[in-house]
Amino acid sequence: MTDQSVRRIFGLETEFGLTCMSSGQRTLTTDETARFLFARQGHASSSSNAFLSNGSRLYLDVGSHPEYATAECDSLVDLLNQDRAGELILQDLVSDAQVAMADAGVKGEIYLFKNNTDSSGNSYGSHENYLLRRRNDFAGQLDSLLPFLITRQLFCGAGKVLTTPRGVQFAFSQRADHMWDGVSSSTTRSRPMINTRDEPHADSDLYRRLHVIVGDSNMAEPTTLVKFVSMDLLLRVLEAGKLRRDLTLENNIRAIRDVSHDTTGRAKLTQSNGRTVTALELAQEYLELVKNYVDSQQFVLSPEHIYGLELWERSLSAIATDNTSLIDTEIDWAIKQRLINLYAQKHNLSLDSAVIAQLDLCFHDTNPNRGIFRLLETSGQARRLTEPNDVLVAKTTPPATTRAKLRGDFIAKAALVGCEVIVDWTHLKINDATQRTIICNDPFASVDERVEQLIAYL
Amino acid sequence: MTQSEFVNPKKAANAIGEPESTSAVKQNVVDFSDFLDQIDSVLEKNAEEFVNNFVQKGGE
Repeated sequence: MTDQSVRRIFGLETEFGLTCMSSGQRTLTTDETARFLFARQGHASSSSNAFLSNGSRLYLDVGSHPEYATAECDSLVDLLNQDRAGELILQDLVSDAQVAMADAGVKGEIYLFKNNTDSSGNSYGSHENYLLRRRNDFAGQLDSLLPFLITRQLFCGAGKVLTTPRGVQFAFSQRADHMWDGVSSSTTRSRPMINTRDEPHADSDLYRRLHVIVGDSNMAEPTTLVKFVSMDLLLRVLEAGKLRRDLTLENNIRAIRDVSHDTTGRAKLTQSNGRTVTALELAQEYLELVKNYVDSQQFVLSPEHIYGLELWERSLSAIATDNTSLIDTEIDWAIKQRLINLYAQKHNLSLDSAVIAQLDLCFHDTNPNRGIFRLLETSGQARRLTEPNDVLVAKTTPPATTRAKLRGDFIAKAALVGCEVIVDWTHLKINDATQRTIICNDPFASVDERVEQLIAYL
Repeated sequence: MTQSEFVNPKKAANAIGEPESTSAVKQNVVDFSDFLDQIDSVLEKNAEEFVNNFVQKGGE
């Protein structure tokens, strides 16, 4: 089925935390570590060299955060493979950097954390992109997504041991306490949940981009999947004009914190109409809305959508019945909470112990031999969805059914023949005397005669 | 038209299958104490310094 009315482009951008340590001491500044990490890539901060043959983008972002942006994906299987491939690509850079550091006599081990917070209150993000058909009334509807984003922590949160004025406690989300606005065009100064910078990287008469920046970076693939499945399905409700009920909240910024800090899911929220609901009730309302819409349309769901929808429902049941064992191999916060509880029990530690803070941080370490989550996954305590072989392929191969295919093929051929090219999300350009350039404005098009000719010319 | 598909059907073939029963994953539950031992061997010894020295600049 190639009917474009039902396909959607998804993308996921991850900013990683970066440090280099030896015996608890930093041996390099973050900037120096980044320089070692990106040495092979050359001009790491220049966007021209940042695209890879799998169609993704890898570069050094604001604040010395390595950032990996998946290529355009129209299936969530591709998205999971691409996202996971990014971690492997970065781990390859880490291995090379460790060799270069050893040669230069620099001590220390590089840590790349897929998390969102450091020890001194800074935050960096995980950004989801959803391509939408442009409709005039859309801007007015963004507000109706906020209560969903505020309550989806119940099944998307990465979990965090949080220090509050009232003491140390476990919270659903890493990002909740770093949000200062609902919808805005700002990013760093007053970080919003939805960023309105509308860069569709496509024909802007037809499409717009929904840029969601409130999410936690997720470790468990099922958690990433349920995050995208729930948003995709909710957007279909919204696009069909069926999201008519006013579910908006009186104070979004207070609400997102209150929800995060109460892992019973019973945080009380005040709606714009004055009614009080719990986080769980509001989350259930969105689920019911989506389920009813899916049933009414008799959608044939993909296997990953079926699983994601089931996991969404099961997560809310787990919270409603106070039985997190229903989800503690699939949902990040529940996996982390189980681990921390058992580890604290074993060593008789309280939640405010430094070792627990370290465990919380190292849960997000992307090193497969040392990262706590990756070890949980390897030992069968956390569910993995991707096939390791598919992820290896995705390191160098673009998704086959989107524009990423054109970009990836172009970059691969250019590398093969040693030709300098300049690439961004929409442009493919040969950087020689001819300056031949093709603009690819359709993110759904994986076949383009003009690009074939350009590749043949290389 | 009311029937639609969210993914390319040719992808659905090698897509994610039915969820495993959670009990299948948890047959390893007895191994969890072994896993906790494994953690001790991979965590750096200076927990407090390790955490406090992880300082970043804000992102986005």
